[in-house]
Amino acid sequence: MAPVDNGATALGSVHSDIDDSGARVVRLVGEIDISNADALGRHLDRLLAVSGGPVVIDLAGLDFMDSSGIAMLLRAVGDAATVEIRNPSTVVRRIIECTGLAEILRIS
Amino acid sequence: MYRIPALVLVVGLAIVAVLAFTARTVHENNEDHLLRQRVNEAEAVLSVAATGTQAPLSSAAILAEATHGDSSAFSGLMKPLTNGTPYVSASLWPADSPDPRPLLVVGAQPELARRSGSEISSFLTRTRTAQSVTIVDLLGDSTRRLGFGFASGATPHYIVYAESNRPANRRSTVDSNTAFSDLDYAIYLGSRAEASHLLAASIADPNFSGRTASGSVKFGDSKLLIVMTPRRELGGDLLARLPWFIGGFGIAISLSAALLVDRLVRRREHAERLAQLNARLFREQRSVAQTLQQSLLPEVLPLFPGLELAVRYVPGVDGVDIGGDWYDVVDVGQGHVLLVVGDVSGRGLRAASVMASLRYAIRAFASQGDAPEAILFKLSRLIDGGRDALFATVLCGLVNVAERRVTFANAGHPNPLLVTGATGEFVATHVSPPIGVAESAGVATDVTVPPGGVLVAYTDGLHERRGENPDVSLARLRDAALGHGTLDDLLDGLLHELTPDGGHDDTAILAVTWRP
Repeated sequence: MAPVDNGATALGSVHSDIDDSGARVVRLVGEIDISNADALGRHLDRLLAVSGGPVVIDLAGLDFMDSSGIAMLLRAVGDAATVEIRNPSTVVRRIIECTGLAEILRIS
Repeated sequence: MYRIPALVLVVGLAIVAVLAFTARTVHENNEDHLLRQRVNEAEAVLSVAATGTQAPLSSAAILAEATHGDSSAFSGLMKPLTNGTPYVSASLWPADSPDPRPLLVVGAQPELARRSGSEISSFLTRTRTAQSVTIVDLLGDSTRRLGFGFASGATPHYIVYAESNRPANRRSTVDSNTAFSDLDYAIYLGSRAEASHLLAASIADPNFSGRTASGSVKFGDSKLLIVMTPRRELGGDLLARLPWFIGGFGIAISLSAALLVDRLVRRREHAERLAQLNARLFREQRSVAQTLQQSLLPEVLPLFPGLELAVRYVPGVDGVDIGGDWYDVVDVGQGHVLLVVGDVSGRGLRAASVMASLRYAIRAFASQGDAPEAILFKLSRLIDGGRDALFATVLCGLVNVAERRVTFANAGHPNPLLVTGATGEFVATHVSPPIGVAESAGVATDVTVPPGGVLVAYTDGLHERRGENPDVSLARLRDAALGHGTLDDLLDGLLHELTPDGGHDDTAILAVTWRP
């Protein structure tokens, strides 16, 4: 299935795809901060709302996020019980760990 | 304010003036040229008329020479010409005689005969050698006559003389359909426009003013001077009125343009005033929000024997919204002081109000004697981030002043820094999830501060940089905290080195040390 590219802002973007196992994969790319977290978050919410099954949020392309990005991820995880977050970069992983959220966000 | 419209008006009027002046100059030149043409035409007409007046004399002179002054021949020729038109008197004179008297007179007696002998001799001599008609000006006499003399051949024996009447105030009207119908004219004998030499004119008192032109034609051995003046515009009314049209329309257009520009200028000024007003409101709004934020922070820190405290709060430079950073120092009694540094996610009044709730909730729990981990646990159950996912990171440190010990509990907040002499290390607290996300685990971490040691708690605005690994940011913070003297020096140094341009985000810092 062709990837759907939406919610792109100057800094970051949200990409959605379906992987081989049929799960929806949402990739966060670029940077997330207070300037674009609202726009990207709304798009992420829509993707999670239309997706019935398990969702993977892939952070491989995410270079940086601040507390606004963390708030966005917290909301995504809280909304869907079957959300899995994976592949954070070292920087993003440390940002999440420093905030005591590694367990809450179920980073694999 | 009125400078630009006034400039437009002045430039417009200047252009109008130049155009009107140009039109007027063209008109004047045109009128001069047309008048000059009419004068030239009049000169041609006068030349022909003057020649016609002389023609009978020429015939009479030839006849007199041929007939040796035969009286009946001379009378027969001149009789029909002396009934007033063209002459009133004709006479034949000897060309060369010591006693100059007329040999023969046809019609009225010549006025010339009444003149002195020398005057008459002079005239006859002049006529004998002139080879053309000679003119005698008798206009000054009561009869107002003009005399014409002529002699035929190189050695004439006779001189023919005739006089015509030139009654005073002689007026020759011009038919309205001729080329001269638009003009007044006056014809003088000689080359000067004097009333005493006036031969003919179109009006009674030809004393022309304004635009005049004159021309001269040969009249026997004298001259005729014609002076002309136009009665109306020779080039037509349109060209004459053009300068006025240009002036009228030009002034109207200039005024319209000036008014239009005035309106545009006023609109622009209005827009500028609005922009200035908006900018002022923006500053005031930001100022109000900052005032609110500052008012939620303790103005004066409580004093504790043996303990030294310093704090800083710096609002971020980005945007109008205030952040949710705060610090607090609470005296919980019995030699214990609670230090708090926190950061509510998001910005604006909502973040500030959540911050206020958290701050007073912490004070309430602390006053009941709760330990830091218990405070955070209670706080985590009190606050629900909810749909907006608003959460707060909080670091609480309960200071046992006497034992130089601090018990930390941490909900998602950066670890405090302990600076001792030339080394600095972060206190490895147990980091629970932020308040509003999940229940706080409630694990405390104790740290004992050695003599000279300084504990620094802060919010992420101090060290966090976009795209940077937090470990790198924290290492820079640790290095910047070394080598300072007083607490104030330390905090100023941190702000100066880590946020030299004012900082992207809000920043709160709290430092504590024991007095030696």
